[in-house]
Amino acid sequence: MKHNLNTLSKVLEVVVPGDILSTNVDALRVELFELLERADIDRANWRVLRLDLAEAQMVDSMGLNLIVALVRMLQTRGARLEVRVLNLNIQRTFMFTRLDKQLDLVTA
Amino acid sequence: MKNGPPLSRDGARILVVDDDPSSLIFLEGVLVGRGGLVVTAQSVDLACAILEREGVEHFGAIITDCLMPVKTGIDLLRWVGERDPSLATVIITAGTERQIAAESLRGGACDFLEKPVGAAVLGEAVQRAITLTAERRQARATQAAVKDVGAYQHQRLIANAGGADAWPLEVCFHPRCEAGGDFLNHFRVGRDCAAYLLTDVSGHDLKSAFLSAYFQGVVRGMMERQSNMPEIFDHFNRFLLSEWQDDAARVGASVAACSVVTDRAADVFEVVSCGSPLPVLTDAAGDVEIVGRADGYPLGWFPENPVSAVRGALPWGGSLLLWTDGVEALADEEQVPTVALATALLLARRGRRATPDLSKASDDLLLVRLVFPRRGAAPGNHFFPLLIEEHAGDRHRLIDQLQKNWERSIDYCLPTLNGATRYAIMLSLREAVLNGLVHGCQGRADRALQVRASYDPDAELVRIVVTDPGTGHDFDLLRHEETLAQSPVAVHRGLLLIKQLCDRLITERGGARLIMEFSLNRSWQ
Repeated sequence: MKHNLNTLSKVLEVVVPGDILSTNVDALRVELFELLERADIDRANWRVLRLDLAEAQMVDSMGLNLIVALVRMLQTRGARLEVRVLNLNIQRTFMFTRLDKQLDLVTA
Repeated sequence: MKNGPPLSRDGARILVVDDDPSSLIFLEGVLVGRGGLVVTAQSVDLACAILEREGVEHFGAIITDCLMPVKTGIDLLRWVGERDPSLATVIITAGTERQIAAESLRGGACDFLEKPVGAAVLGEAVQRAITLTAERRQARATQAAVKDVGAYQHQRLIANAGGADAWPLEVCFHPRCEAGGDFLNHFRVGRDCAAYLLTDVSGHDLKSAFLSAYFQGVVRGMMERQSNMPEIFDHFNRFLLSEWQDDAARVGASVAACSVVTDRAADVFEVVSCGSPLPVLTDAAGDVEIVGRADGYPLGWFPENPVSAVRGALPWGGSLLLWTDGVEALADEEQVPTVALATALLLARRGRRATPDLSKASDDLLLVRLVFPRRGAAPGNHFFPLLIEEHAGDRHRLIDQLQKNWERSIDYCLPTLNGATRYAIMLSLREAVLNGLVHGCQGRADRALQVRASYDPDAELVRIVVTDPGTGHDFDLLRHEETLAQSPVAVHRGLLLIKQLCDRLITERGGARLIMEFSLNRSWQ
């Protein structure tokens, strides 16, 4: 997955290619957490993780669980999670599950 | 010299056309000598006038010179072809006119002769032409008769679809050929019973149509003599094997049949199926199930044919769908489940969606929906089936493919479904099935989960039931929802998601059976 670290704004942006579903969530989790644990990324002391889900058409409960895991991990780190979602259905799902209260939901 | 039988023994006349008087006399002389009834013309216009005046159908052959002043033999060939393509024409050409000869054959001439024409060659060519004309006209008459039979079948089938005392019927019938072996018949038996018989005879020809009608007659007669359907099917099976087969190594004809007999007084219905797709019952609540036993072979295959009846209570407020295997074949072509195609066809009849493309159908299509209106209630609020599936517990890894199949089926039946509602249905179904496969079936191949979906077009409601063999969860869904509001938890998120996405969620057996209802008119603002 593509990522970009802005050391000035302290934002780490990660672009997720496509959906987050039960069938690919394990692989995504490994890739994402390996990235976050990389020494150079860790040293940068980023404060915001911006997860770009613009390409996603569906996120199921396992996908939401991954996002919840990210929320928790960032809370211990003192960082924020920002999630960019363009698909209206996924936006609605975040709101139904009140996940939008636990992170910054960007819809544009 | 043997001349053979007279050319015009059946009264068919021979028209000879040549602008050269001496040639005309020669040709006429040869053909009259062979017993022909000959009419002559010295030009194409005269020939056409004769044919029009006396009727093209009275002529068995035309012999015409090719090159004539004003109009040629090819022009005559064209004129005749527009009026009666079965009338065989022989063109006489000079040796240098090979190109014209080729053109005449392409234009429909049955033969061409090179000048100078010998008497024997002429006689044989005309004999062949007369025979060919007779064969073509016989084929045309047979085809017209087949069309008549087909039209009559269609008329009877539509007439069968209803009646003052019958259960309401919806019928979709698209025969592949003019006549064939798919048929529906229904009749009263006594005061309280009604029988519905769907048959599919092998073949698409007059023989199939004949056997179909014969079988229907046998069934009716035996029912009126108090025989039951298993007895009738068994009787006809033995009949086909003993009297309709010339060669033990070949199946003379076979009949796939499905019968539904209803008894209002006893409040029961009975299904018997032999080699036919099993009926699908959708009850008043929208639950879907397959009815009957797939034990019996098509009649005419094997002497030992395990035919049995399956009984059930009359499904008031519900409906039964029956179809012949042509519908299943088309569903395979369209890559949708048969129930989805059946529902799409029936919704198209109601003007709820466009008619599916039937050009890919390789067989007759006959689909029947038998409706059991709620007693004392107006017709309506009857569900149509969308999905009937069963999945082994280890199929959770294939959930993406399963979801694609659901999307195909739902899109096929409900092509104008609102995007947000479609998403809600798909995500809920995915979550419910994953929950069932992983928890209820514990991922085991020897355990299976069932998916049933149905659609009520009057209430604009989709109902989905997912059932697994597990014991369910032991948590309180409502209290769990409140906990979720306080802090994010990972467990049971799927069920909570479903609760938010559907309009009504009923959990039974601790969630081992989930009933989800989606209103298609929901506003998602």
